[in-house]
Amino acid sequence: MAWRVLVVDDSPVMRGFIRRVIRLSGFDAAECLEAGDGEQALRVLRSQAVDVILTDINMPVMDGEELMEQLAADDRLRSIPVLVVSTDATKLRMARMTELGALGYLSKPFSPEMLRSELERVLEAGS
Amino acid sequence: MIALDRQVLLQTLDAAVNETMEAMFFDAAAPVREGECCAGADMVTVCLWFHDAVDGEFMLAAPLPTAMALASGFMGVDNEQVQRRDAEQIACELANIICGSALSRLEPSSELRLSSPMATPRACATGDDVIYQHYQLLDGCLSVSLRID
Amino acid sequence: MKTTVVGISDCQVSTDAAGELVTYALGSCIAVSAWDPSRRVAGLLHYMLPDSTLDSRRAEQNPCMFADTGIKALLDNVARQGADRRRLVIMLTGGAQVLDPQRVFDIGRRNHLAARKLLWKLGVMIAAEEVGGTVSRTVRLDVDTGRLSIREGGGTEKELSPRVGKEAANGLARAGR
Repeated sequence: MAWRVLVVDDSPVMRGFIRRVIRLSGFDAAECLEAGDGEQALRVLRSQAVDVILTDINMPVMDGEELMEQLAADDRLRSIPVLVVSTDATKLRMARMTELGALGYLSKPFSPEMLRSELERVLEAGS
Repeated sequence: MIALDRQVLLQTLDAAVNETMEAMFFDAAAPVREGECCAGADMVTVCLWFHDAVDGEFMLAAPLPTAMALASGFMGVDNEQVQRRDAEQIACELANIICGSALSRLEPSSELRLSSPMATPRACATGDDVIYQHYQLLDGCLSVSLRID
Repeated sequence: MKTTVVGISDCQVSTDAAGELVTYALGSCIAVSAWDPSRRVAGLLHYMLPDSTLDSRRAEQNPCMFADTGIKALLDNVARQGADRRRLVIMLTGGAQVLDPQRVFDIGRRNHLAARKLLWKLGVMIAAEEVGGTVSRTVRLDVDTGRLSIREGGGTEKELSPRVGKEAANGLARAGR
C-alpha cells in the first residue's frame, strides 16, 4: 500500500526540491501531495488520508503556525506526524511549533541527506 | 533590536551564504571584500522585506549565467534544461533562505516575518546604512545587500 | 580475503563475496564507494579533480581522473555487474584540505562538492560521508557487507556505516492508514 506525504510551502521550487528528496530516498511508494499555504493544506487533508506533513511557516493566506493550530484542534488530523521545514530557526518559533505538536524541525538550508534523515526520524516517531 | 555592528553582520551573512550554497546548491562562496565582482548586462535581482524583531530589506543579485547554473544545481538538471523563469524563482528561494538563516542567527529569540521574495529590475541597495557583500562562487558570483531600518 | 587495489584515478568493481576493494592515501582526492546489498556488487572510484571539461583530452584517456566522468564510469561499471542504481549505497571519503594560495577554493572541497552535485543530478542519494579535515585517508570496502573501513594517517581504523532508514517508511506502508 502506498503512503502519502503532504508538502506545504509557498515556493514551488522548494516543494520540487523536497519532492525529489522523497523520491530519491527510496520511499518508492510515496505519493507526494502539495499545497501552497495552510488553507490549501487543510482542503487536501479533509479530502484524503495523509501519512506525514512537511510544512513551511512563512506562507501567505494561512501560515504554518496557524495550520498547526488547526490540526491540533481537529481529532481526525492531530495525530498526523508533522515535520516543520523553515528558514525561521528562532527559538521562539521552534518552541511554539513543538508545543503545537510538530515531531521534527528542520531549518533551511538543509542538504538532501539531512531532510531524508529527519523525515525518517519523524516517520519512526509517528508510527 | 540588532545593533548595527558591521563586522558581526558581515560574518553572519558570510556564514548564511556559505552554508546555503553548500547544502542546497552544491557550490561554495568566498567573500570578496574589495572591489566589485558582480555586474553584468543581464542580472537576476530579487528582493524581500522582513519585519517584527527588525525591519528592513534584503536583496540578492547574480548575472544570468550564474543564476542559471545555481538553478541547475538546485534542481539537479543540466544547464540546458533551465529556463530564465526557473533561475528567477530559485534566486527568490535562495534569497529567502539566506535572509531567514542570517536573521535567525542575529535575533534567535525573536519572531521573524519575511515577505515573499520577488524579482526586481532594481540594482542591489548601497549606502551607509546597507551591508553590501560580493561573493565569488566556484563558477560565477553573487551580491547581497542587507538594510536594517 | 582477496584484496583489489584501486589506484589514483582508477575504478574497480568486484562481485567476490570474499573480497575487498582498497584505495590508499586519498588526500584531497575523493573515494566514491558504491554497493548493491542485494546483488553483492561493490565498486570503488578514486578521483583527483572535479571537472573533466577543463581537460577533455585527459578525461578521454582516463575518465576516472575526474568527478563527473569517473562517477558515471563507476555507476556504469557496477550496473554491468548487475547492480541496481536505486539500491546502491553510496559513500564518500576524502577531500582533505590542501592549502593552495593560488586558489580561492581548496581542491578537496571542490572535489567533494563536485561529487555531491553530480550524484544529486544523477538521482542518487549519499548514504554516508567522511570528508574534509587535513589528514589523508585509506579506505577498504568489504564486498559482502558493504562496510567501509577508514584509516586516517597512521591512526586507528573506523567504520562508516550506511544509513539504514527505509524500515520506518516500509513499516508505515505495511501498517496501512
